[in-house]
Amino acid sequence: MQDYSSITRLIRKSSWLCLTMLLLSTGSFASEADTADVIYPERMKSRSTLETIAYIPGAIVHYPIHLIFTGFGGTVGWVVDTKVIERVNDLLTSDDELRGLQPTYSARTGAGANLYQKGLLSGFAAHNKDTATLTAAFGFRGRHYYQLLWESIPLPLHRTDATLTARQRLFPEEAFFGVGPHSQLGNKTIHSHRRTRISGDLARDLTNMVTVKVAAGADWNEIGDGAEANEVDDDGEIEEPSTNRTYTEAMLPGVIDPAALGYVGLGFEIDSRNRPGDPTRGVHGHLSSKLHSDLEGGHWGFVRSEIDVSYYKHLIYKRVFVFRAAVSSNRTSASGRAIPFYELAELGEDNTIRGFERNRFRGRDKAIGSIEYRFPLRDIWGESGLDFSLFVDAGQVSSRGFFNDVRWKDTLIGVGGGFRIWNLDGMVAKVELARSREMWRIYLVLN
Amino acid sequence: MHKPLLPTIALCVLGLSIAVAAEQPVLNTATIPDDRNCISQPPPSRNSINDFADAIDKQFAQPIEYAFDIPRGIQKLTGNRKQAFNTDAFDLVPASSWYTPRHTANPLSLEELQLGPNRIDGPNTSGTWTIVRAKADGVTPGFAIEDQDGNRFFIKFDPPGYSELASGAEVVATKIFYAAGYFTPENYVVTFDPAILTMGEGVKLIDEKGRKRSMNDADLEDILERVEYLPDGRLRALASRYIPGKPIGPFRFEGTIEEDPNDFIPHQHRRELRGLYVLGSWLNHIDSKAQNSLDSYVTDENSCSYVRHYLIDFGTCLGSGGRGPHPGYRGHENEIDPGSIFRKIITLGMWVEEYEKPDTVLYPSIGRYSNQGFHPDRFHSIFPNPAYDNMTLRDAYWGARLVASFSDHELEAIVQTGQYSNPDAEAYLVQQLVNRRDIICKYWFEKMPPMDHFTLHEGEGGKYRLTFDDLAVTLGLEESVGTDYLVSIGNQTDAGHIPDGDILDSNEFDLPEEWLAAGGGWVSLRMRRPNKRNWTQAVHLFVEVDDRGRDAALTGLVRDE
Repeated sequence: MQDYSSITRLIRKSSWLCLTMLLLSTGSFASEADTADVIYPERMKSRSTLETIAYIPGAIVHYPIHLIFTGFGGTVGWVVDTKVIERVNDLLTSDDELRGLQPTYSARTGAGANLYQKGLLSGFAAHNKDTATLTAAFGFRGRHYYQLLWESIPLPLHRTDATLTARQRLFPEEAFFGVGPHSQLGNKTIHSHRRTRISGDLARDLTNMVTVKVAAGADWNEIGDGAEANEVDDDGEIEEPSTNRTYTEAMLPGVIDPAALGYVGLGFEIDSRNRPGDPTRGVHGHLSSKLHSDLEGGHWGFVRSEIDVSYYKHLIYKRVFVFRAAVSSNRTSASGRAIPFYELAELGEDNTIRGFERNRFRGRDKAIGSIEYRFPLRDIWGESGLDFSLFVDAGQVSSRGFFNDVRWKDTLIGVGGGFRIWNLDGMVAKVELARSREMWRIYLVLN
Repeated sequence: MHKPLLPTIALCVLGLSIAVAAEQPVLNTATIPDDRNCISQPPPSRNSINDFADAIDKQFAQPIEYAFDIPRGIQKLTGNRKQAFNTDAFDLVPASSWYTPRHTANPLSLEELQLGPNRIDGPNTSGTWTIVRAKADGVTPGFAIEDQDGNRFFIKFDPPGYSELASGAEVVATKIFYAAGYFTPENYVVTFDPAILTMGEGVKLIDEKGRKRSMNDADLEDILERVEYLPDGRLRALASRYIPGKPIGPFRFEGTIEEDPNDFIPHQHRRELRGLYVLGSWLNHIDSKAQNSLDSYVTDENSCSYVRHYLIDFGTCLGSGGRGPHPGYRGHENEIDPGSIFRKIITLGMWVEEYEKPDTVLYPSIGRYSNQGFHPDRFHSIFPNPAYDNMTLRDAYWGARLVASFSDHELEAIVQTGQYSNPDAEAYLVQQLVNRRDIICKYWFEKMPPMDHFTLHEGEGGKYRLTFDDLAVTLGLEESVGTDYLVSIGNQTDAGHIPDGDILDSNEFDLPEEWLAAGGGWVSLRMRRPNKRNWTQAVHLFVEVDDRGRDAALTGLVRDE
């Protein structure tokens, strides 16, 4: 009996347990059933079947473009979201932000890094704005650039600071087309140029707008074969001969002989622009003169004098004209002295006449005039913006004095336009397209 | 040579037949399913949408897509743009998880308008506020707090030098958006002693260097250093109460959310999102991007849980740009506007937009909110909005109807909730809102006849009288004297034919008994303003008479575009 009773108890307990579980389970089912029984509305299509079919041809065309934009947007979005740039920057910067490593790039010097240290002299001066920067950059064909720059070094003189520079660079593909205003594009030769420089500058603010600078330094220059020079094309002709194999030292001073040059100079800078990033009025200019002489007692010796003035004229509603005039003159310092060809005035850089190849014209003197018209496409809070510019650059070089070998019809002209992104600190980037009588040229400048 | 003539004629005849047939109004009898069905589990949370990626998509990728969308192009060219999917028989938007008809359906009292979505009195400033979260995005500095009552709020400050600007704009815009029918957070203007702030445990922030770390007192001090104090040392801020339910993430103004079974209408085809353009143009809601929206899994009063869709962050409405008065181009152009850029380049910068000319911000607390250069159809949000891109005239009319529902007096009451300390500034804002409302309504009501609020009631002698409001007259934009209404009546027996109707000078008239006896049909109404030669597009009303031939009722309407 006891066995039976225990079995009965067991059955009873089990029954309660089962019932409880059943209730619990049905309860849970019931709560799910509340929503499980819901018939949700059928999702509507934004396009009908016919529209979808008609949409297909257009979709095939636009989808790749769409992918590019969404890919770009997504990538930048990821960069912004993850703050990867800030993180890397933080990783490469000390906690006190006085030292760090930064990437650097320019088309001319290549890609590399800056290692900087701020406030080296903080223990010796009340302010610690001095910054020492070690730069190493490399590019294709052996291009390299090393620099140690120590700037804003405080001095125990009122409103005066100093800059020290040590630099070595090798540009393997420098172009040379001849000297004077009539050099021909077809006479292009290329060479490498290694330059090592040490220099020191002293700058003193005379007023808030005027700075006087004293400079001294030394350069060691060496010309070699241009990278990929003397290559022969399918017709058996040399495509771009090397400069140092085309010219003799007598024909082109400096092309064979290395030059060790020391210099001292004096300059003034005036800057009355209302803001550096997007000036609408004011003047910015500099005037300088430097005496270069041969450190090894050789025949090099010349004086370079330069003046470069830009005047910003506001028209209406941030439409601005920028008038620029620049003159550069190189004169031998004494009879029998010579000027290395690479120290001659140059036209072709993007800050000279746009639309020509770099180094396109060389001459003893150069004169440039430029008119640039800028108007805003977007101005965000007055702190950054996008401008469009139209410009006309004109100028010429001279090897025997402007009144001797330059005629009006020889004036080089480049015209073009482009976009310019700025912020309060300065120009951030610009893209310009320029046209000269010789070529179209695109300039992409990152600051 | 003559052979192609026959098919051409046939096509023309077919086209004309279609055109004639198209004149017969067809009532939209589709029922819009309720999208507030219970969902047992909240949909998975979504990541926030990156502003930059979204901007590139909307500014560049989407226009390219539109350019190659042949059906869309044809619909646009033929004036047959796709209408919103979620309108009822009266061309209105039924209540849903997106929208609740409020002020237009049952006008709210002044107290209700001032209260808006608020359910409490704001954060309790008598006790301490514990900072529970750092503010990760947005243009204004802030953080989230929990007051001693356990309520949580995002605290956002006005930009230095522009006290009341963002907080006032956000509160005023909130009240209007809410009254119009959208779901919004509870936003309060609050003044408090910064001493009540205490740092909570484990509050994380991502600093400007991208490092995730605990927020500390120095961070709080940094925020408080960047805000403007009241003369008595207290701070004025906007307190935005946490939205109820479980936040899911922002919604986009296009497509549907796969994980939400109730989300069955592509967002760009929702009337309330398309028509938001008009309300946005009124309130200068330039930042109507996906990031300024939030889906939340809520439980309603019937214990049913589903996803509700909120508009949030109105700190850049009216004259506020978040960091100060918004730049002049905002509202006039997209942030990167290819059309404007092209125009300026092609004219060599000689094209000077109105906003480029120097203006004066009269009141720092109001910012840049004037109607100089404003055009109702040329309002631009910072980045294009796909719902706006699909807006039709019917959507715009619906939006203008919302705007028109606010009287001068009601706007005065709403603006008071911005708690502006300068009465002149407050009066200025009211005046600008009134002026812009009138500009908007006048424009859209000229595009679509503003005959609305139709009622049919049995009058003396058993005659049925149809009455309606002329919203432009109600708003004082037009004179009722001299406005004519052309009434035509039709039914299925003369399908496709709208007879020349009677011209009335009143917005009420009796329906013909014989026509009602025949079962009713449709009544087409057009209007003509004084000094206008042409009649407007028609509004077709549908009247149905019951089987006994006695009770007539309005069953819907169709507005011609």
